[in-house]
Amino acid sequence: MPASDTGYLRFLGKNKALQFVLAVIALLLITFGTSQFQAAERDSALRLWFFDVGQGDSALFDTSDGHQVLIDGGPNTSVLSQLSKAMPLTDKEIDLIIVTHNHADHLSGIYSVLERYKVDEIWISGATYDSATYKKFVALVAEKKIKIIDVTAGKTFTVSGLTGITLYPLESFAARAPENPHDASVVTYWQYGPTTAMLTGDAESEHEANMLARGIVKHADILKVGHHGSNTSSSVPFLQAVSPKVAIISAGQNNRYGHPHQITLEHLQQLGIPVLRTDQSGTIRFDITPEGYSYQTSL
Amino acid sequence: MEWLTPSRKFALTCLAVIAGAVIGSYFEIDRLIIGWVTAIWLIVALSGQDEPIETIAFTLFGLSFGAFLWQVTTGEVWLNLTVIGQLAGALGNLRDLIVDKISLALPEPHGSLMSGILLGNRIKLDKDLIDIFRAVGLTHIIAVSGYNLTILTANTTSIFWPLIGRKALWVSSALILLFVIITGAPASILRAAAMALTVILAKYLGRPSRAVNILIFAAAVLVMFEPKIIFDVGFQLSVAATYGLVRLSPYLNRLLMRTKLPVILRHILAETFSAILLTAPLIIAHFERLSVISPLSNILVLPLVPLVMTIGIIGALLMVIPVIGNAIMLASWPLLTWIIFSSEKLASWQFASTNLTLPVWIVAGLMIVIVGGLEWLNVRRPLQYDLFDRLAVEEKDAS
Repeated sequence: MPASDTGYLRFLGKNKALQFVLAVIALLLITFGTSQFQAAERDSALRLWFFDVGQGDSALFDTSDGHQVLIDGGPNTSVLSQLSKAMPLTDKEIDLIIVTHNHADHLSGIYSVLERYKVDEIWISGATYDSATYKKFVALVAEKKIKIIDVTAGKTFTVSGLTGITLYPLESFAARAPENPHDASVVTYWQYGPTTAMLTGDAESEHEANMLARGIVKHADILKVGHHGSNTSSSVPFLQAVSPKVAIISAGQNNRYGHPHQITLEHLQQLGIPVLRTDQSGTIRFDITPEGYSYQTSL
Repeated sequence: MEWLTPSRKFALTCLAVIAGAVIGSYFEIDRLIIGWVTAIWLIVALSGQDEPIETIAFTLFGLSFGAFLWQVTTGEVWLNLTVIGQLAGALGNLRDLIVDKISLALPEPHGSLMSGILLGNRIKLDKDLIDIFRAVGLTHIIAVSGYNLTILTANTTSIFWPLIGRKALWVSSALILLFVIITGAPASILRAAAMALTVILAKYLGRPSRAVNILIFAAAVLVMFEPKIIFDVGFQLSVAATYGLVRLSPYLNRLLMRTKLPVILRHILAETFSAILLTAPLIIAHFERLSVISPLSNILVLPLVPLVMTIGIIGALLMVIPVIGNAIMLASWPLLTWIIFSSEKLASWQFASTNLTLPVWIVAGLMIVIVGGLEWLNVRRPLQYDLFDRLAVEEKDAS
């Protein structure tokens, strides 16, 4: 039987082991060549991604020198494919993950990220929640011994010129179980050069009023609109106080909640704020430089 | 009666067992009576009668035995392989560990695609990607199937045969067993393993070319252990695909010889088209859908799968030294990227997959016409196919 002639690998020649090693080496060259090429092509801008993860939230800051901050993980594992697009092939480390609250459309994807990436630090409100997703998340964080911090307003983070500060919750929710998990929403404010961004998680009008009353709401160029554009968030006084140059709505196509709500869209329109939606534009990326910012959609 | 060789007689009996089980599933027959009938026909068959009485007796024995089997087991598995189950429990962690290691080494969705190709583990695979594979008719690459194991055994055998000769078959068998254990021995993999082991056994006994007989025997063995498997979509598809590989691909290969295509491409084309043609009626019947694009997507993707599997296995084995294992895993990245990229592009084509419903009798008629035509062709111009050599050889001693 001419056994050495069998199999698809036949074209590699007679000494199979040698030919296989050569093929692996060639493939590795392609892999690392591609990753080097990507690294060389990467400009020095800070990238802010709003991932299209369906009905849920997920955003990523990616600095040009390979540091990442991930805010929420969306409802499923699709965040992983998005991260692969955004991060270098060999970078398996995320500096900071912020979980704005414990609902599955923000938390589920985080679990799969923790399984695959080395995560240095997690920020969370500390509120507990009675759900399987939350319990799995807590167990995995404990198992991997990841540093997890219960945050309130005023917590800061700095990496490669990017600065972030939490604006909410105003009081500690550590080990409490609020009836509405949105009460413990972690709202963050970011600055890089002259450009500012605010990511509100699912904070509702009531929480927006609390922040306004404290006088901590400032102008932000980029606003991630609260609660996927629901009419329970984005009150007119809040939108006026932030007066963003562009608003992002992270929602899934034909989602069963009817997000974003027509009223929210009308408010934004009346205030002359342009809107970008992940359900219409797919994944959105802002390239932020010390001079300003630009964005691309459908990535 | 010259054409009725002992092996054909045996295959006929095996077919009768399968048919008997089907009949038994539709009719309520008293176990005692059917048991007696089975015994009587067996006695007649073994009592040294002349042809054709002996063959008729064997066939009727097969039919009644199949029906008896169904009545006794009501289609359920009667042999509980608890030993394998316990081993699987102990080694299930090993599988999870391998999946974890792969996902640490590769980005997504490449990592879960690799676990899918290697271990048939599709739990972590993006739903979008599964939908894409479905649309382009490629889901079989992310399920451990007879196809995967045939490639695995063929490659292992061809690597080890020059070194240790016939003992290479033992290495292949050991690898199949390891695969069964690591994947946790679910029904689909037991099935694929039974197929592959039967083929190896035939090879070891030196009767490789009667591939259809082997296929019928393997199917009958599986039916004997779990009669309700007959109605399982996966079982039907894998039998149909293997049959296509065995019967149709030598002829397609012969046709393609005139085109002066490279040998390897010719084999892939012939095997792909024959598997697709034989499974298409079943896919329409079960899923009411036909992936028009699947011949093209299979040609673009299948040639890469064996290399991906080899890199995956070696990479997983070397994971004990993470740096080297990860590095080797990364060699699969360009290949996996190509698989994902080409599937996505093909799936985005609006005619990639169409909904199609056909009445059952048309589907059954189609299958009968295709199988009948192939068998007729095989009688007229016999071409045999060796599952290992993947070579079409003219059967010189065909009567």
